[in-house]
Amino acid sequence: MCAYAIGSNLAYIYLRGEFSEPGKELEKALADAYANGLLGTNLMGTGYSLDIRVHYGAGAYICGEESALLESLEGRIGQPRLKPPFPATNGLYNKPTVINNVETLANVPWIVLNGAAWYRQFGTEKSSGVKLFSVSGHVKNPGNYELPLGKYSIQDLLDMAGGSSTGRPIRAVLPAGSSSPIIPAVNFGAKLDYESMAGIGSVLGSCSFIFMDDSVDMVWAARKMIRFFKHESCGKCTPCREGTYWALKLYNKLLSGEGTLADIDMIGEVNKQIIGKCFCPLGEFATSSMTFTLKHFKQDYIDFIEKKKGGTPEYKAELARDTHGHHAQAAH
Amino acid sequence: MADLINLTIDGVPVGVPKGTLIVDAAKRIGNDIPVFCYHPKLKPVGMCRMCLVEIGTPKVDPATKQIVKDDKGNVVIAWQPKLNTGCTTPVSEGMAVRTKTPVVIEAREDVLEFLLTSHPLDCPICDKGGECPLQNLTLAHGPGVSRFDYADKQHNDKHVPLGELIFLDRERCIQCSRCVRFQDEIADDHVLQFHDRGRGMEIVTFSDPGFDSYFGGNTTDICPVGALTTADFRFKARPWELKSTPSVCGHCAVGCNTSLNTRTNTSTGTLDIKRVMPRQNEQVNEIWLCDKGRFVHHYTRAAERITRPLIRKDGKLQEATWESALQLISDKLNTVPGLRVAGVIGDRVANEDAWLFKRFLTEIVKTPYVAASPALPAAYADIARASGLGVDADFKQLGKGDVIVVVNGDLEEQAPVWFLRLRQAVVDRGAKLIVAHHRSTKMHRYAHVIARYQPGLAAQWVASNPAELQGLKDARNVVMVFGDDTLGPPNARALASGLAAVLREAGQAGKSNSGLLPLYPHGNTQGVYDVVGAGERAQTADVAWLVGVGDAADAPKAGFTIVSELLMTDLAKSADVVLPALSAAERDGTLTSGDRRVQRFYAALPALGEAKPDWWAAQEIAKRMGANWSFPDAAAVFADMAAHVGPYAGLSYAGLAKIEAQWPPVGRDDLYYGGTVYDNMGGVGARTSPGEGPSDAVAPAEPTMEALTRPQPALYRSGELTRLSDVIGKRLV
Repeated sequence: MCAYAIGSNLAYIYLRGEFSEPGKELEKALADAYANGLLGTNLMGTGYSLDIRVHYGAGAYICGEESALLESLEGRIGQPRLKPPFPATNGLYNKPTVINNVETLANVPWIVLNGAAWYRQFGTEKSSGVKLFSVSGHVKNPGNYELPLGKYSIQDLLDMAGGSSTGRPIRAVLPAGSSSPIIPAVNFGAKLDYESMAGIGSVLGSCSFIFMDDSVDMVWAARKMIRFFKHESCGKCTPCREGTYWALKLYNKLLSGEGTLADIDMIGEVNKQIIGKCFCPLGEFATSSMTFTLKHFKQDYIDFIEKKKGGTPEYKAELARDTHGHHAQAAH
Repeated sequence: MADLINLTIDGVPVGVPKGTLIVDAAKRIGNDIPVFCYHPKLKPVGMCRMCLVEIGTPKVDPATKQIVKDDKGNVVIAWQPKLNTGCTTPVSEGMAVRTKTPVVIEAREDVLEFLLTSHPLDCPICDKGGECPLQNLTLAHGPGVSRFDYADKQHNDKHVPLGELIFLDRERCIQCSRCVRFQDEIADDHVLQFHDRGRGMEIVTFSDPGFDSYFGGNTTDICPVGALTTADFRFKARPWELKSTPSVCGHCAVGCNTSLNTRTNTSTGTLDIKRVMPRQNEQVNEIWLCDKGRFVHHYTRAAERITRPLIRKDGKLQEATWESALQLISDKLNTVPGLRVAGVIGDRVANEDAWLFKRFLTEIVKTPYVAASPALPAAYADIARASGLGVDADFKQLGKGDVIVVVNGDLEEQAPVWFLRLRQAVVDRGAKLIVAHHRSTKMHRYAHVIARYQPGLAAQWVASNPAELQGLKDARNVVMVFGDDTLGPPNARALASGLAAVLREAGQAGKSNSGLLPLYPHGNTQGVYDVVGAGERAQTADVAWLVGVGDAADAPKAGFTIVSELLMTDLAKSADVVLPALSAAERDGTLTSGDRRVQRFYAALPALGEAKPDWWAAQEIAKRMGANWSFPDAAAVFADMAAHVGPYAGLSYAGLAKIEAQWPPVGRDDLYYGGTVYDNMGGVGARTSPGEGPSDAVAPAEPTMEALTRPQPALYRSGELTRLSDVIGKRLV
């Protein structure tokens, strides 16, 4: 419908390369659609034709950014484009292009079938409709949960997922993966809608909720996240490329047991140095893990130094894996 | 101008054309916003984040749509919540920019500290040290100390050859992509790219041979760090030890302005050329230079140079004094009555040489046989001049509404920097391109219209009134580039006259930015022709004097042959007297480019051995034959030439040395390039007027086998001075 509306005869589904299994299902669904005359030429006698192609990315987080996605789709290195111009005027192959998340499109058939009023009965005034919540971490029943916005709280979601899988109390949750401000359990009463999440200083974002029990050390968790962003930084702009590299070095120092209290301040400084200067949101997202673990769990950092939590065989093994293992280059 | 956009930068008002970027607007009022990835010759990317500034626009009341003013009537500025890049943001009316506030200063320190976390601190051994933007901007804007633990530094490969001409130091690279963008946007040789991502991101080449481009050397100039260096210059000298002498490249018709960087070799006491750099002249080469112009200078100190006069004795050429050689020649010319003397002047020599030789031969020797070499361009140089571009022609003005026609020419091979500039007129500014050739050239990539004909039939194609050349009446300007590939003299002349006729019929003749642009083989083809004219070519002679003649076919069969040369060419080896000439690096002089710009070059090196300028030898023999000549230097010879050769009337060495401010500024203390050698200290030259010329139609002739089987033009054609380059050897064809 979107392609029809803008007069396009070609649509791409960009799928992260690692998702080959879902990709097979997707390709099968598209084959079915072609077989039933829902894709191809002269659809249902209307004279309108549409092809949909599945494109597998090379596995880069940054290619979720729409203009980096376009670069990747055109066969180039996945780096965001300068905007303006925006994809709506100069998109794929410099042609006007509409880019939508698949979750957005998944809502469309139901709205068309049942009407906007029907859709708006779900959710709140400002956050209408339903949303998919992908729950993982220390929960008994990880999986996808489709809920109306604003009706349930974070605690409700945790309960729906069966609560803690370890029996230990849940300590915090990342509501939208590692790019989102971490939420301490004290705020689990917040409702799952955009405005309530903003009210507790976090976001709803992709709704990929990662629950963590109280065995999770936030220094370790933050390092894990920074390592991810350092690995996924496209390298285009200086603050993200160099800042994530430097920050990881500092976290590695903490984990290796050689950290000092000054290193904690340095993490804060490097973090501040990245914020507000990046080319695209990825660099800014990368700072969330530092900003909000320092904000809500500063004591974990202090304890890490004062109680000499670093340098354990587990941490050393983890650092060695990064240095010599699969991600050796990335963690160099 | 009505379409000026007015803004304030740190409270200073400035008016700039619509579309100007903040960094360029700031430059207009002397405010150097620091940049690394931005370069005024490249499209902005906003990668390095060094140019972050505070940007605000007039606050607009959402209800009334009126600009909000405070109690005092001043416009209230709505400042953007975040810093933004001045290199990607175009100005807008009423915009306010702050470049010196604490938050901006802190951002610059932050970004610089980040850049330096990965950069090795090897400035003391880095070729860029002393003219390095990163070094300069660190001093100007960087934090005093780095808090980064040195042990955490990432170490990458150094001395990575991107081909045999350019080397990459991956530690020094700051990922600004200027080199990648130059190759993509300006050279259109897509041979560089980023590989990997994040801190692992590095420049790679994927061509074979590596970095396969005629323009790669330019990337080492625009690299803001010492990541890219040339095989020619790396490890040879520190920039501050170099003396810079303005020169002009003589290897093709473009006449690129260059700087010869020299340094004394402390062990031998000799002065050596360490590198050739482009010298900014926005009318000629902007800041670019092809790799031939950059890397071919080694012939100036080649072992094959002739350093003393040679006289044939007992069948062998033997070293002699100037005195004995000059006496022998003047005796030869003076004593035999009715002697048939022929002079041939090659198109590599300076105007001064051509002029004094011509004057010597016609006035003193009184021979009608004076001709230019090679003979081919002499067949059409009068038409090329008379129907050439106007005095005020400017490649930068070519764009939408203009038509560029390339007939029988291979711009990239024959005039590489014209290729860059005319390509941009088409690709970036919307000029229409018509290409006609018997084979494909790189220019075909951008052509809107392509015509083909059989080899050797270019003039016949133009004479056939082809459809591709219709409708030129409607064009704003028409530039017609043409070459003589596969054509003999009659057909080359027929092609030039045919194209000139098309220009006249389309009403384009006489317009400043319309005209013919000939792809001459060398840097002074036009100048030598201006002096010699059609001339008269002798097949045989009693005495022949060949001055810088490259092609043995241009030499008359003679009983006694004098050769003035740089190198022991085949002609020199068979001569009776050989006079050692000076290269352009060792003397003053002028060259006239294919678009008739007269430009000065200056002595950068002392004479090699006893070599002398050719004009000096002509004067010395003229004196011995009774002439009352006393030209003390090249300037005096040029003044004499200007008084006698029509198009040069009014020109003087002082006038040609005039310096004009270049925009955009990319030299001196400017921070796009940290050095001074771009700086045009030698003068921008002057274009001579086309003057009057023939307009008679020349009928095309049958193609000849000689012309059809000539090697096709190539930039690195062996057998010329290129052969003597220390670095370009592998690319010879």
